[in-house]
Amino acid sequence: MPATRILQKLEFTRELPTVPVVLTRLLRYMEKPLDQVDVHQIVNLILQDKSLAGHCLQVANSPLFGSSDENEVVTIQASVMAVGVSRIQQIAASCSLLRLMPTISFGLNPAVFWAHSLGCAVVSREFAAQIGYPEPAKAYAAGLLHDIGVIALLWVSPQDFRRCFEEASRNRIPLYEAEHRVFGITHCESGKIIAQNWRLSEDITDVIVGHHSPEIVQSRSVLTSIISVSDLLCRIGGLGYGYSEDRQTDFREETAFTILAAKYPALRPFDLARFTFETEGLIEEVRAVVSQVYGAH
Amino acid sequence: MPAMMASPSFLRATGSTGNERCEPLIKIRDLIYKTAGIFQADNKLQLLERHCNKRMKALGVPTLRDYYGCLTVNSMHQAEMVSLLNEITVGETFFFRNRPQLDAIRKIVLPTIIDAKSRSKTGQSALRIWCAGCSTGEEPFTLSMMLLDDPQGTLKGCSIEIIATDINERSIAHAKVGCYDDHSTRNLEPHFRNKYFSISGDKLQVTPAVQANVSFSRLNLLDDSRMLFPKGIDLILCCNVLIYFDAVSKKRVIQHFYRNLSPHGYLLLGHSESLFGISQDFRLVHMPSATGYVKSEKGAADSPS
Repeated sequence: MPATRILQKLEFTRELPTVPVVLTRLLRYMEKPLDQVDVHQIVNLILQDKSLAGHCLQVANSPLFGSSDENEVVTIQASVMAVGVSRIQQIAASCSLLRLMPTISFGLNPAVFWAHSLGCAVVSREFAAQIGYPEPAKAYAAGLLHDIGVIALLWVSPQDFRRCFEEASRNRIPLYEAEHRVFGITHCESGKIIAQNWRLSEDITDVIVGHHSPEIVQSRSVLTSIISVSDLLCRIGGLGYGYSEDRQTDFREETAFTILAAKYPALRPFDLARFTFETEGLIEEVRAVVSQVYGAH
Repeated sequence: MPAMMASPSFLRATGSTGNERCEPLIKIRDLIYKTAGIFQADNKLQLLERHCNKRMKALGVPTLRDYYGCLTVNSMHQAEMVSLLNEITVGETFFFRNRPQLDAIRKIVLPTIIDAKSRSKTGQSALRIWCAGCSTGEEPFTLSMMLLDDPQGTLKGCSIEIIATDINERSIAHAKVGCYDDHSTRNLEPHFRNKYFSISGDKLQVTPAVQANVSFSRLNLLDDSRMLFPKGIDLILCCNVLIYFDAVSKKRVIQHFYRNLSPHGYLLLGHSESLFGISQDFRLVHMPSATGYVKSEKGAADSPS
């Protein structure tokens, strides 16, 4: 299917995934300073959806979260006490995405895709915090949603997507390269349509559009670059799309890293090796949480 | 078990219970990284605590805070750090120990080196690999059989020379015999076990073909005069060795490695080991689930891109 046809289909189809209501509201809350957040509102929002609440508890209680059997939380209220309001919003936003996951695999396993999104969110937040970016929570949200365009492609053209995914995993190349060959566009373009459709903020839209080419996002390239670096670290660390890309990466040659190094002096002597090892630890934890959530499905 | 463990890095609660107790452990983790260059990620903190507990029992030290003192202010703190590192690295080696690293060597490092060699004036020649700190030989033999196997034909008929050195005479003697027990061979796939070993009583003996590529000798990495000898090395593996050296010695060894390597040479360290703060002569590169260092032209390495 030619690129224009795909884009048209994305623009006009009524079958596009609709934004989970919970996610829209959470993203709005997440932009507020913490002291202006009404905890009850968030708790009620989560409680409106039983399956969401269940998933949130699972994630908040995951053994990797450090909770042992004796301090397991059984209510959303208690989990807010245990992990804090900011983290419960992040957990809920992540779990609200579960609803969008296709129930059958089109090459790409839904659990693998969710793990990549969640992993990228967590790594982006940690990376943002370490380099001194003032809004790590925004980095989390952007990391979570950066690949939403993959879902869009999968949705409008499942058979082509399967072909594209198979090509990528067979040749061990990044997914966007295969998308470009098969569709003529990538998940960055399809993601843009979703982002506009869902009325996501400009920051997050930029990340969705530019995480594979942060130079195209002029004004807000910092957040995009943070997610770009984190996305790459996740893919290298084994939390990509279920296959490893057989490549060697020198981060100092990556555009995203260059953009960040110019903005954040902390990055010039940044211990990327150490952050990579930290990321490996995070990835293992994310994997365990994901297998718990999906195992219980 | 008290809520001591890794306050979960992932979605970590701020100010949760147990954080105060975690603090000395984090300090110990950071101290190990600073002095030895080996990092324990948050999800490995519980394991690190177990290693510390073992040492604390041996020393009769009651708390982690006191143990941190043993690692910093006590007169014996350097010796204690070595004992703790021995716990962490378990002081053992086995065949196919670090698979992501081996995959990276096979799929990325060697093809890149061969490509660089074929472009250079000298054309293709032998691949020279150095296992610096080879212990009882499992690592160089793993490489030897992996390269003999070469199902994808990556090596394009290159000849292979593996130099394996260790400071410990007894380890070298063991390596030269090439006979291993269940413990060393526990990670072996049947394919490799059947093809590259023969049974010798209750042990496994590596075949002469695997041994033929490897030469063992005793070498102290701090022996400056002998460190000048190896030249034109394409790949140095030095796993869990530098962690025992102080910063000055580490820098010296790394400088030697730099000169020992051919222009596109690679230096690979053990899992979670880093050269940060030790050398800027190498570029850090990322490969699937593995990191490595590539020799870069002098002066270029340091620029903040």
